[in-house]
Amino acid sequence: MDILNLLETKNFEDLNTAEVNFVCQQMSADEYKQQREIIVMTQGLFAEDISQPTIVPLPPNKALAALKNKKKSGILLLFQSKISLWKAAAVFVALLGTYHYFIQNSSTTKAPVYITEYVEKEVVVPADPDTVIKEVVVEVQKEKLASTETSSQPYKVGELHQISPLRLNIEEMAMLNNLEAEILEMKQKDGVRVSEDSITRKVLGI
Amino acid sequence: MSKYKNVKDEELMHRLTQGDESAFNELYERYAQRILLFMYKMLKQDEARAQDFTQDVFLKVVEAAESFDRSKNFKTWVFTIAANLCKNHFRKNGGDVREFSSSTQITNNGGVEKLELEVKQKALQQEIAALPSPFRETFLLRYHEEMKVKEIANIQKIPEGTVKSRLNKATQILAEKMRAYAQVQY
Repeated sequence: MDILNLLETKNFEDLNTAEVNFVCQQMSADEYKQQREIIVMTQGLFAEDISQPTIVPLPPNKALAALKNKKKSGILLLFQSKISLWKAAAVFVALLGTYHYFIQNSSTTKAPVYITEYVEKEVVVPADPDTVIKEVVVEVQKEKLASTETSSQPYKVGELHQISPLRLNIEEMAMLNNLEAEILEMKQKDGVRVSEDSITRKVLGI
Repeated sequence: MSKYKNVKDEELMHRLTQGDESAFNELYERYAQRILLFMYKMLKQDEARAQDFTQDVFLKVVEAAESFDRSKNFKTWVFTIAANLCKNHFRKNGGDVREFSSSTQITNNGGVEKLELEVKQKALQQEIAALPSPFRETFLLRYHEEMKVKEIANIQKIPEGTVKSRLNKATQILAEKMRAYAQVQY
């Protein structure tokens, strides 16, 4: 229960017993009636005021002008906006600090290095060989060679080529082959070719 | 008929932030008269000053449109601006001095009952205008603007209980004044 609510809504005569008891704890019946009358009169007075205004508002010239300026300003807002002095001072100090920092750092940097000489180096890449000459070593059985050197026995026919101590490469072997062929084609004094001579044939094992 | 007739106050404020002049005109249409009457009563029926203050209220509405929280009630916000303007005015002018105007002189024309009613109404207007400003503001917001106690508490930044006690106190003062007035008259 609320005394204000009762004053605004009910006359004293309309209060129920509980409400009357509640009101009488706070004020007399006359006081309630007087205050109730004030509220009712006020409500009537103000209702009349609003329904039949005695004064009318003037056109909102100031506000409209401000609204138009606001629309115009647009990008100029950046320059028109106000900031507090401490903020401005803080930004100034920050900028000054940054400037000094860069100045100090730039003085401690190393001296610049300039290029004064260019050195060119020629790199020779060896070409791949198109011909490979391989040396072929003909191995001779050393044991047999040793025995032939110490033995007084004549060489057996057909073994002569095996005792050659020579180490020949391909070219030399080719040369020897040619020489052999030439010798075989040569003719003896009696007109017989070497290749047809019986002794030669036995020696060479033909 | 305005294109914004059915648009809520808060939506109008949003459009106002985008520079919509029609939205502002609609808000002015809705509230200017009420603000003016509130000012008129707060400023002891000084119409010129009430007009100036009403202009200032709407200037503030335009200037501070961006700071308006759309989740809040526009009516409460605009009356808070109006109440603050009044408070600042009273602070600058060294308090709230009671003034009586010559318009309280009673002219004896019309029927007795009507005359009595007019006399009482005039006297009541005078006494409301003479209330100390915090009580007057609370009283006007409640019975002139028909605001809820909670809304008034928000505007005046006081607890709801204080709003109720101010209303009770204002009613008591007015009742006493009117009783004294009746004793003098009759």
